[in-house]
This record gives sequence, structure tokens and C-alpha cells, in this order.
Amino acid sequence: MTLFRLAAYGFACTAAYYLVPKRFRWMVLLAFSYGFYAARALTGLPFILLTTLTTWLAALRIGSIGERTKQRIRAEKATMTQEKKKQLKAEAKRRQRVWFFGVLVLNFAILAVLKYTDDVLGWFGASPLGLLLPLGISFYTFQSMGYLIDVYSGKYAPEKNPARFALFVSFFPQLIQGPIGRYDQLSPQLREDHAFDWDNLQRGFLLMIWGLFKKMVIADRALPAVNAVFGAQAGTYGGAVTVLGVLLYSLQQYCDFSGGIDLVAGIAQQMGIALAPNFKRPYFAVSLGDFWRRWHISLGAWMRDYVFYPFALTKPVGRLSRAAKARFGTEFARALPAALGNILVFLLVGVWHGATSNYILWGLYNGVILAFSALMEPAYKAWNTAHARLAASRPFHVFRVLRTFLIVNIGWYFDRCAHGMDALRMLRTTVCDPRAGQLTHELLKTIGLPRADAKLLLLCTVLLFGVSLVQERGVVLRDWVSRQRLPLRWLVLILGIVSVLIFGVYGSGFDEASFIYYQF
Amino acid sequence: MKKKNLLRCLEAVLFCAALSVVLWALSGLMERKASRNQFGPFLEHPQQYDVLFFGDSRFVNCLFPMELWEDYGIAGYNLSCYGNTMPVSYWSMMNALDYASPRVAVLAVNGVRKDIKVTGSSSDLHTAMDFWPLSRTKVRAIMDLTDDPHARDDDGNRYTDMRWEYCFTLGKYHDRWNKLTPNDFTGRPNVQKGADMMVGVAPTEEYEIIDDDLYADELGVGYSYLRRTIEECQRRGIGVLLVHLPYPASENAQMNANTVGSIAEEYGVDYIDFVRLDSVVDYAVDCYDQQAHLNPSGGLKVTDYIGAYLAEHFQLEDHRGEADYANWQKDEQAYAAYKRNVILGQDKLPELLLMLHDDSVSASIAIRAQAGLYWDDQTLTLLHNMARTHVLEENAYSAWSNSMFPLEGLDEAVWADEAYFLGLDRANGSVREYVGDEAEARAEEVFGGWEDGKEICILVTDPATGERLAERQF
Repeated sequence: MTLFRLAAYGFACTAAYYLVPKRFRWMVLLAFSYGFYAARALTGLPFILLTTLTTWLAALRIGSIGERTKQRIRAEKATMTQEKKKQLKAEAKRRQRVWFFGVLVLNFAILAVLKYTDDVLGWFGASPLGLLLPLGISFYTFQSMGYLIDVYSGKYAPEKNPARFALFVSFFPQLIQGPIGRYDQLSPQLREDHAFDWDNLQRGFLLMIWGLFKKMVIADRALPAVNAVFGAQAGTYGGAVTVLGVLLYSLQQYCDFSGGIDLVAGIAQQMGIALAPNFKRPYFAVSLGDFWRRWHISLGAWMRDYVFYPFALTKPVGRLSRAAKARFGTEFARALPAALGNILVFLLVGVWHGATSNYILWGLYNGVILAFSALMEPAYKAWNTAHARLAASRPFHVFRVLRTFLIVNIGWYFDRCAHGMDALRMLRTTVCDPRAGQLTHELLKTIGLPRADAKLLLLCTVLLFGVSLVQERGVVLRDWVSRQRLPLRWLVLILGIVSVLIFGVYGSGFDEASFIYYQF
Repeated sequence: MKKKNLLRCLEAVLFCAALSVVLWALSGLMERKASRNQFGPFLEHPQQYDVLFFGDSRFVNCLFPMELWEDYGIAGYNLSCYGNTMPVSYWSMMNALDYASPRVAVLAVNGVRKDIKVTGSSSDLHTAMDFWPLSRTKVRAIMDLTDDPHARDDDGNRYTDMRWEYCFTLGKYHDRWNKLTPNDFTGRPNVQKGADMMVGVAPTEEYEIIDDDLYADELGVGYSYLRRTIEECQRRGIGVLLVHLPYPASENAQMNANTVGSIAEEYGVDYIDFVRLDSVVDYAVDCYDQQAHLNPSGGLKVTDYIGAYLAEHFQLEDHRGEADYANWQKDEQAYAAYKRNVILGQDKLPELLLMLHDDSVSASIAIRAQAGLYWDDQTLTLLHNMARTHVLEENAYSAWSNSMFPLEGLDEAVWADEAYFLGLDRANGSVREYVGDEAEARAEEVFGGWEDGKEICILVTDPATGERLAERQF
């Protein structure tokens, strides 16, 4: 029901958006966004307001300090010495830095305190405080801090209107689980006066239905089995059932997250707003690096722009790279910053998921593999050149996809288990104790996947795979549907709606799950 | 451009209409059919009903409107439902009054002392509500019945969260896609006008009748809805009959029944307390479970009593033979066929004997000399019960005789440990008994004697044609 409410809220917002005069439309979005936040998490309202106000003010101050300095230099150009100019610039930078780091530290500190206090207390055996994480705090903090960093680095001028900035931070479709928008891409769209467009409406609606299908029909149907396998006592299930659990988690997590993103992207598209893409069929990736460029794209891009590059370009890393060049050669030295950057980024992403051993191991697992890949890149290139025909062949492509899928799924053991040791135990069971005989219909029923549900899940997964395959080949299915004659268009829409309403997991007696990324 | 937009608007409206039709059809298909089967027929001719019955499971099991039709020509529908509380009964009535204009509302008050609006069974509330078309009254009913934010069903679901599922049942039943049966496509409407026969025999505990001047101390939500029901009926000019259905009531329950009596007096409405009329049903054989819900034998007695009361006190018309009620002839046939199936479907001795109390079939019974069942009080009472008639004495409303032990020959056979033969002819109401050699001869003639190891032979025949419908030996 929660998802239907979200969809209904999206329709209501769309209707209100187009009903008011164009110049007021951004205000409708702001009202609906704060209405959404207040209705879902009233206690979180002060936090989002604090982040909005501090970021807006700091960016404004950073901008005005820079602007005033420039004006002064321009005005006194004739009389000002080079030294004075440098001094003024340094002074401006110092004052900007105070605002920048002050607000950056404040906001990340709020996020860290609310997110990690209980985990840290747990390390010392203390009872958790039970602090409630405000809705979407990670996403709006990342989004706001990205804006602050961009303003600080002079990428664009600060927003002068606090209400418009508040809309950028709180735009409700992306508040639950992203995508993490960029100010220069999202804000112009939010202030733009979009004309009513049937095509946007229809395409947005189709995307919403597809998102609901992925989330409610596939992800939530797989959820009980995933919980049963990962929540079972050690030794209950052998490797075969564990593998099934991991594969189902792989499916559930993808459909949960990408389905939610499709839903909110569909809502935004109905109003002519394109959210940043967050998924691009990640399970078709040919390497782990490729996977992370297709999975949670907006977070990856944020990490790349605001952590990876700044880190890789720091003086100590540069010095280390130069030292490595003398010892290991140019290729290695060139790859070293990327390797270290990947480890840092994925360690941070792991910690962002939670300050527990499983997430830290998961982050390190991904970071180390990516670092190794970066360092081995020259060797791969050489091998590919030597075996150009094989490397370009379809079977080899499929092999790479399957290899990546395997690597990713090993990572999911750490992502889904509550503790790192549990993940290692389950990995050992997978390899050493398969117990294939456990995989029976009876067992599936026991773990919450009776025969009919299992068949339905399989069918829907095949459908998902088919659609993804077609998309991977460059076909935009929504365009195709939009081009069809009315009966076929209606049939697709009605079948989609009916599938969600009949096969979706919702209503009393069902475990209608929140989005996985809602908690982050 | 404007024309194009207009066409797209039209397309959107038509799409919504097409989608609504599809969802409506799907909703009907996926729905659990309990509600529609039990109450759906009511909405076919709602204006025909002079009497509507509201109450909980006790009333569902003991008030057979088709019997009222056959005996008194009273057109009634039993809108009682399992698990109904007084508030649910009130809202069932309010919904019914959107469609029907009854002359009398009969309300069972057994649940009046419950201080809750809904029970823990959200499924029962669905049965009571699902078949009503979505309307303002239905929405008001759901909102009112589920207004307690702390009320949860037995599975822990909050009623406030489930409100929408009572208005749009697809939300509740969508997961039945893998449980659909042919009945979901064809339906199996209730032919008993809302009643539900439950066959079984379970003796219940004795109870003491308390003084009629002892009253309940705390009057909860059930009482406020009792008053609302009476007031609504009186506002609309509908007669009210309150009934406290028979069961071994505790002292507390009887004090509540006495309180209802005083409320009935206050409003000037009729009230029958069957708990005080302890000769209407025989608790030894007339209940089907330990909670003393009545079986068809007990139900027929209560139905007959209420029919006689309605006919005398509310001057209801006898609609039998009226052209406007021609459809009831078909209903009567369907009910008779259903009842006969139930009777003939019994393969256990107590249940079969119980169902032979019904006067729609004749029966011949032969018991072997020195039969072990002569020592079984329940079987003997069930045999007597077959021949019991509902005798209305001088003042039917203060005295009622069940002609408790009408089979003298049976007592004689038991005493002498001899063979016994009973012939019950419902066509002319005759009861013929034979004991000893005569009984043996009749048994030989009718059944060809007893099979080895069997003590009792039962032949069920059609009273009108004499056709042998079933023969069983136990």
C-alpha cells in the first residue's frame, strides 16, 4: 500500500503541477516535497531544514566572498600590486574554506552521529540509543554537499533563492533512495516551466508500472526466501540452498532498488523532469568496474567526482606514484592512484552502508578487486591484443558477464549477512558442503517460496531478463510502446497494471517490505 | 493542437473506463466468494423482503427464511453473519436499507454485551461487508467499524490499515490467483436466503435461569448500537423484534438479556428471550457444537416460533401465490433440493436421525431386538426428536411445547428389548409404531431384514411420491 500511496501522491502532484500557472509550478513541487517529508517523517524535518539552510547560506557566502574579491581586484586593478592581489585571493580562499569545511563537517557529522552511534556503541557492548535516521538523510546530504563542493570549486554560482534550493534538496521522488542529483542538472529542470506533454505522461506512467512490477512482484516475492536462508541458524542449509538464497538476494536487491528508482523516475518524468540514471542493466556488466558503472550510478559518480579524483590528485598520492614509477615502472605508477582510490571509495561505500564488519569486508572486497584490476590493466590489454579474435567473440563476452556475475554475487554474501563471519561461514558452506538434496519443493515451501510462487518468480525473472536483453541491445521499449496503435498500447498498460495488482505482494497478510535503500 | 489534446483527454478517460471495467471484473473473480454466495441473492430482489434478520453466527445457523416462506408466506432474508457484533449488524442493516424497505427488522441480541466494534476475525467482517456495492453507507460503515487505531485482527494487522481492503476487495484477495476454482467463475449462491445449516449433534451443559430483575452493570458499545438500531428503525417506521437466541447462557449473559428486555420496554418494541423459554429447543440434541450453536433441528424450532410470532404480531402478508413473488417458487425448489441433498448426504447415524426431524422427507426405521443402541440416550432422544411436532399452546408466546417424548412404542421396545419399527409419513402426518414380532415382520417387508452386525435400518422416502430416496443400515 505504501508504494501505491507514493504513486498516488505522484499523480496528485502531477495534476497540481499542471493545473497551476507555470510560474508557480516549482512552488507546487516544493509544497508537495515538504508535504511528503512531513507526512512520512515529521521528526526528520528539522534535519533536512538544517542541511538546506546551512548549505544554502555557506554556498551563498562562498560565492559572495569570491565575487567581492573579484570585484575589488577588478576595481583596484590599476593600483593593486601582484602581491596584494595574491594576498586578497588567499584571504578570500581562507574565509571560503572556513564556510566550506564548517558546513561540510557539520552535515557529515550529523549523518555520522545519527547513522553510526548505535553501531559504535555496539562495538563496546553498550545498549543502542535507537536514534531514528531521518528519511533520505544520506541522499540529501550527499546531494547538498555535492552542490557545496561544486560552488566552492567555482563550477557554478550559488543559488540565491532559498526556497528554490530547498526544492533541489527535498524534491520528493528522489528523497527515499536517490538518485543523487547534481544541482546543475536537476535544478534547471525544477525551475523550468514544463508544458503539459502527453508523451511524458504516458512514458512516465509506463516506467512507474515497470518499477512497481519489479519491486512488488519480483523483489517482495523473493524476500521471504532470502530472509529465511540468511536468517537461518548456522548449518541449517547446505551450499545449494545458500547459493539459491544468494541468487534470490541478487534478484531481490536489484528489483527492489531499480524498481524503486523506476517508480520515482516515472513520477518525475510525468512532470517533464529527468532524474539522473541510477541503473543500466548491471548484471550484463563484463567486469566489476563495469558493474559499478551500471549499479547505483549516481552514487558511483558522486564518489568518483568528490572522493576518487580529489584523492587521486592529492600531493601525497602523486608523490607515492612518482616513487612507484622508479621502482615498478610507468604503467604501475599510472595505475596506482586509481587502485588506491578504488580501495578508499569502496571502503567508504561499505561504511556508508553500515559500520559493521560485513559492510567493511564487502567494501574492501570490491575495492581490492578493482585495485587489482587497475594494476593488471596493462596485462589484460596485452592479452586482449594477442587474442583479439577470442576477446571479441560472443562466447568470451558471455564468459566475462558470467564471471562478473559470480564476483558480484560473492560480494553479496557480505552485503546481506549481518556479520562478516557469517558471510565467511556461508561461503565455506557453499564450497565445502553443497547438500544438493535439500533443494526440494518442500524446502522451497518452508522458506516461503511455495511451488506457485516459485513458478511465478521464475517466469517474471525470465521476463525481466528478456526486457533487459532487448534494452541492452539499444531498444527503448517505452518508445516502442508509445509508437504502437491504441489497442496494443492499452493492452500493455492494462496488463502491466493488472500484473502488479494481482501478483504484487501487498495488503494485509503480506510482508510488504520497504525499499532496501530506504534505511541508508 | 487543441483538438489533439482533446482527443488525448478523451483517450485517457476511455482508458480509465476500460481499466475500471477490467479491475471490477478481476475484483469479482479474485474475491473470496463467501460473502457473495451468502448474501448476493439478497440484492437480486431487495424490495421483496418484508423481514430482514440481523445477528451473529447463532442467527445464521437457526433462522431459515425459506421455512418461513413455506409455512407462513413471509418473505425474509437472513443478513446475519459469522462474527457479527452489534455495530456490524447495525451497519449491515444500514446498508440493506439502501436497497430494501422491510416492514420488520429482527435483531439477535446475543452479542450485545461485547464492548468492541469488530472481533479479531477480519475475514468475518469481509464476509459481512464484501458483497455490498461500494456506496457512501458502506464507506461510512467501514470508517466507523474500524475507527479504533489500536484494534487489530488475529494476525496482528491494524484495522485502520485494512480499511481500503474492505472498499476495494482486490487489495485483500489479489493473492488468490493460485487458488481459483471453477466455483470462482460460476459462483454458488446460497439457496437458504442467507442461512447456513450446520449438521452435527453436540450435547451442551445445563444452565440455571436467573431472576428477570437482575440487570447488567456495564453497558458497552453493543448497547449503544442496539439503541441506534431501534431508533433508526422507528425513524423509518420499521417494526423491531429483538430476540435472545437459545443457548446455555451464563448469569452474566442472562443479566444482559434482561437489560435488553428493559430497553425493549423503554422503546416499546417486541422481545423474545429464548433462554427463558427453555422448552423451545432440546439442548440434548439441538446443538451442533460446544458453543451451543443450533443445528437444523433446533433451527427449525426457533424459525417456526419466530414465524408464528411475526405472523401474529406484525400482520405480515402471505405472499405465496402472488405473481410478483413467482421467483420464490424457483427458490423453494432450489431450497428443497438443497435440503434433500443435505439429508441424504448424512452417513452417520446421529446426523441422519437429526436431519429426519425435517418434515420434507418421510422415514421408516427398524431396530433389531436387543440392539445396543437402546442403551444410548442420545440416539433414543434423536429418535423421539424425529417425531416431535412444534405445538403452539394457548399462548404461544409464553408457553411452547416440544411434545418431548412422543414415541410410546419406542419406550416399550426399549423396556422389553424387542424389535421396533417406526413409520413416519410426512404426507399425512401419521406416526406408526410396531414392537416385537410385528416390528420384525414390517422390517422384513420393508428392508428384507437387518444385515449382519447392523442394528438399525433407515429408509428415507419422498412424502409426495413414496419414492425410496435412500436406505442405510448402521
